[in-house]
Amino acid sequence: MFVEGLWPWWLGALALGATCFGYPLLLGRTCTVSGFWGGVVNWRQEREAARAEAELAANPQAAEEAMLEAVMAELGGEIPEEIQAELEAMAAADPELSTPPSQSAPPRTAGPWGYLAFLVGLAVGGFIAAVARGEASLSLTMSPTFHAIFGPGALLALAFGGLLVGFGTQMAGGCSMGHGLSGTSNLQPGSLLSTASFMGAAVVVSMVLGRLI
Amino acid sequence: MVGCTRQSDCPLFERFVVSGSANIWRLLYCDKEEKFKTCARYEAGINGRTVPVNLLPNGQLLRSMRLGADDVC
Repeated sequence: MFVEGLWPWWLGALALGATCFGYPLLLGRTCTVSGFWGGVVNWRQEREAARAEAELAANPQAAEEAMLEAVMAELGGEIPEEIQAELEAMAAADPELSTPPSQSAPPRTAGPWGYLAFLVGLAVGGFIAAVARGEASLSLTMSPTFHAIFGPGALLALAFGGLLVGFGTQMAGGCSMGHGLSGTSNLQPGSLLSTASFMGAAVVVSMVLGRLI
Repeated sequence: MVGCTRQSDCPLFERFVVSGSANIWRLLYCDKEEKFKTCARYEAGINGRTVPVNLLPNGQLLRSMRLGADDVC
């Protein structure tokens, strides 16, 4: 039941679940490896977003004035009567709505350095676990089964598979962690569909490859 | 009234909720079933892209949030 040198399956599951559940609670964002890679690649956009969040936290009054100015521009300088009526109804229902916030919500974007730290931590954590098990070693080959299936084209197959994973995770807006763990745990329909799709595809491909051995 | 499905994850929506003046954005986009899907923040979010906090629903970036040259952080 328990593989020697590894955590019990339930402890690993709890650790993963706590990470995927706690990350959105603390930072308000889905924990997803593919998303973090995207954040590192698009580091300029991430840096701009982190800067904007910091400014919002530093000066919420200015942000509110700017938002009001922008919406008035969108409306052509005049609030339509129906919108005005709805605003009055909202204010009547909750008078605190007319009070500007005294404090802004905490920043939610980790920024490119935060994402990079997470990704480096992933690799370091894996290395530490391998060292703890006494199995840390540099290897430039895959498993014998992998080589048995792909033969001399193993590296090419590996590269192509990686390309598909990278392309697919960006198209799907998440990976096995973002959709499979974080999204499904929150019962997000897109994540449920995405997870079912890639897990189903993995099962089919495994069955096909299994016949090649 | 069916509102935007991403309200709970949207930091700007939090500001719309507590800010009386910026509630107009909420009335124009967030609470309208036929409108929230045209929100630039919603579209970016469901496509897995980073949603800048200063991205308004109409796609405009709130550049005027920047502190002025003489302001002190």
